[in-house]
Amino acid sequence: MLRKLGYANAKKSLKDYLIYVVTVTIAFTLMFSFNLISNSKDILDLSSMMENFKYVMIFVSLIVCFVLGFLINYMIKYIFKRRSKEFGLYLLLGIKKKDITKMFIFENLILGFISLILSFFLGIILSTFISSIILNVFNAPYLVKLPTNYLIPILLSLGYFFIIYLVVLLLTKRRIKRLHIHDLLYYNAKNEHNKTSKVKSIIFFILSLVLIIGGLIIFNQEFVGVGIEPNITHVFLAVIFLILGIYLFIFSFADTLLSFFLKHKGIKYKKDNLFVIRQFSAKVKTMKLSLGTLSLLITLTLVAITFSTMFNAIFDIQLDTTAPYDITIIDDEENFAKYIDYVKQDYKINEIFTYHEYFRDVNVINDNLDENYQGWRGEDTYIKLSDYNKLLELKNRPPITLSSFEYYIHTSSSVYDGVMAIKDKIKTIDIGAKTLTLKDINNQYYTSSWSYGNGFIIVVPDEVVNNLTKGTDALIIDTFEETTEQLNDELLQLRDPDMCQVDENDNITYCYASANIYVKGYYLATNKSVMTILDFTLFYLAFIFTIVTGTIIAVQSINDAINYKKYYSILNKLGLSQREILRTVRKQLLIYFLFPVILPFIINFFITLSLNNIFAPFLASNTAYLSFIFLSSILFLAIYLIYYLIAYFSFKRCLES
Amino acid sequence: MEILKVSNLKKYYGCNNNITKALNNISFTVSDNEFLAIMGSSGSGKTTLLNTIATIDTVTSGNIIINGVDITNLNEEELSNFRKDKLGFVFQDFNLLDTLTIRENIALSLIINKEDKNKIDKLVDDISRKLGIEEILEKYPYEVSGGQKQRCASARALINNPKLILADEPTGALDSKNARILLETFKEMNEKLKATILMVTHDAYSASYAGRVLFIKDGKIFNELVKGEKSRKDFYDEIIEVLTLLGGDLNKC
Repeated sequence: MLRKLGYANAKKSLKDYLIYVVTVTIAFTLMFSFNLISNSKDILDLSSMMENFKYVMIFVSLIVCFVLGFLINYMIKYIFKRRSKEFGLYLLLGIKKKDITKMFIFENLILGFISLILSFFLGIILSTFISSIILNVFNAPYLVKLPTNYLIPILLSLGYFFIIYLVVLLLTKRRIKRLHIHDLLYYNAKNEHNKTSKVKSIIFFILSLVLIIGGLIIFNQEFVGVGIEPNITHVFLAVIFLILGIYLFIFSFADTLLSFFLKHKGIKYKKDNLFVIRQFSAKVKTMKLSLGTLSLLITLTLVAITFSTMFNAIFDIQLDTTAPYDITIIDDEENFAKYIDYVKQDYKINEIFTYHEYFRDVNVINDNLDENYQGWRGEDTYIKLSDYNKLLELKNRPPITLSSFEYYIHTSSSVYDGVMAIKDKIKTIDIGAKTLTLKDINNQYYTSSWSYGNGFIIVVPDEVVNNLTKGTDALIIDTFEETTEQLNDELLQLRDPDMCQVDENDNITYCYASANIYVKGYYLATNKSVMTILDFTLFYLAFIFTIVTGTIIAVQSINDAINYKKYYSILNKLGLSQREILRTVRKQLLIYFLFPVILPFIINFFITLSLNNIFAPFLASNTAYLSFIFLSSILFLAIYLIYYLIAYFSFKRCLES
Repeated sequence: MEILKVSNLKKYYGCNNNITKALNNISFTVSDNEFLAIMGSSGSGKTTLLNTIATIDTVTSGNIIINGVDITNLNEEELSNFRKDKLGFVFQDFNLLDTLTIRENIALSLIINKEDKNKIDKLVDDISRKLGIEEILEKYPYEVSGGQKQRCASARALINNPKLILADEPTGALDSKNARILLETFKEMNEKLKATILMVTHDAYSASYAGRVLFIKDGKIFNELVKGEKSRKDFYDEIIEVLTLLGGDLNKC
């Protein structure tokens, strides 16, 4: 009998809480498809780095389990509250508490199972789709094919499912056990009108601002620049400050806003403000803890998406600075032929270009440079103007011109400030009998392989190098096909053995590679692996966080529509038209949806600003981070908007029925 | 002067051969500064009548003219505006918003009417003093008694100076003491503040406070009593007599 009731109730819940069931199904689907992908041989074989994907996914899945557990626990609590009268009635009729608990748990397990089973089918479809994207990133050939290794992903999904439900259902069981008939029958009537004093909420509000600003400042001071390690204790402290600040803000903001509103008649008595703000503050009071947690989730979401978009851009630019040419080899000129012959076997060669670096016995620039900016080589590297222009051309950059009495410096963005600082000292340099004037200092599109071990090169008119010592030889090969990770390994095999020498003082053998080899394909593969793992996991997490937040707020709003339907009919009788009431509803929902989002947006902005201290040298411009903040906000809001619309239309339907 | 004129009002439910005639050709008028009670048992059509006058229910045929405007011809938007300007409501279950204080609940109808923001507080203070609720203005509805809630609702209905106040079983949820206080308030509103009140009730005691009582049965007007110079006690006895004639069980309806 109870089982039958359980089925019937589950069926009813499915209809009433469709948005929740759909969200859980989406979450399980994502979980399953990522399990499938991270265990797929096709994907793991893409690059040596991809093996990590599997382990990262397990870790991420556990976080998702935690968040999903939060959602499911919240929803079960909510469904229980809505149906408390019904349970009270069962108890009144003499049904044992144990049986009611069993029935309720049974119902929720059915809902969970429906989501889980659906997720297996949807997950397979989604995983083929995501696989095709990943394979596409690696330029690997792709045929639509179903995953082959099902066993481990299914076991993982089942495992996560049981962990979540075991914990949540134990919590539920304990919750029911503690309740009495009276509580159940009057559960809804429980008033949450515990008045917090105005002063207290204002103090909390100020404290929250202090904590947040403090946290952001500490954070900003720890992330100063490249190579300066942040102090983990400080970062941890900043995170604690931010978390506390977020919760305190949510706890006190509504009350502070309310007392502000009540003080200003102009705002208080304007349109529907009074009604909206009162409803809002009552709402916040009843669920401030959940709202605080949601705010925290949104903060994580935004930071995750911003970070991942930022990283993508960094990788693109890094590729341009480390390996813009298909193959770059720095070795002795007489060895070049063997590399070229080898490459010719598998690749069609578009162009071969060799150039030389030149040195002097005095290092005008390196000796003046601040120690922080000096490379390990410590020698000024000169390049002929014609060679330099050719290097630019191969990167699709326009050439520069120099008169025969000018020179030019190209630096990496990290050394730029150092060179700029000594600009006055190096206005002119004397080489041989010639005095060269500094024409310009450029820090854009620098390539580190131009001068190994230095952060800058000096470009001089071709004839000047006659007065310089010829140094390292470099070979650049432009191939028709895209190079691979494998070619890098093969070319490394061709190198002469490492040059080793024993230091007479401490008897330790120091070895140097006889040549430096940069194959674009190798960097591409590494970057793509890191990017894929990072992007997919962060977006996966961000997506789950967003839909969990959206669901909870949407469900709460729909709940309001049911509970406060009467209020809207009062407003209607008092003379607000249907149109005006819907406008009030939209306004209310907007505030309600935006409230947990405001702070995360601000925090995300400042955290990104701090991270930019480190990443700016690798990014196209100093303001590039703004576009990442914008992009992540848009992505988040797009999904969030769907939940807002669902909430609004459900609300509307409820009022009209 | 006539504030309300209802003529040949019909309201049918259902279709074809299964029609319920909730209101069957009802006509009456309410003049300025009148306190009219409409009595009838459950299902007699009295609430339907009130709802049609309140503009929250439509009619099948007939006209309702309030202050010279035929509300049966207005659209949704116009009706809202009409309610806002011309009507005040008092309901059985108070219909106050729990999240607002008593003061804010009363102010709500002024806010909706876009009253000058600086005048709102003073208007609320004035009306509350008249209705004896100035002490509880800063409290929330759940902190005050049923009688106080209903006086708050009355204040909200009255504060706009509506042409017509519609009350639906206003004493329905009150104990006898609070019911008496409220009815005295209604009487004062009618006599001192010159409010025109149309009250629907099934309770003879409540009806005896009105100046005139209309009895409805099966959607038609069955009888009419005018208080005139009679004492309230005599009027009450008269009402009871009619109710006995009506055949309604007093306690049941």
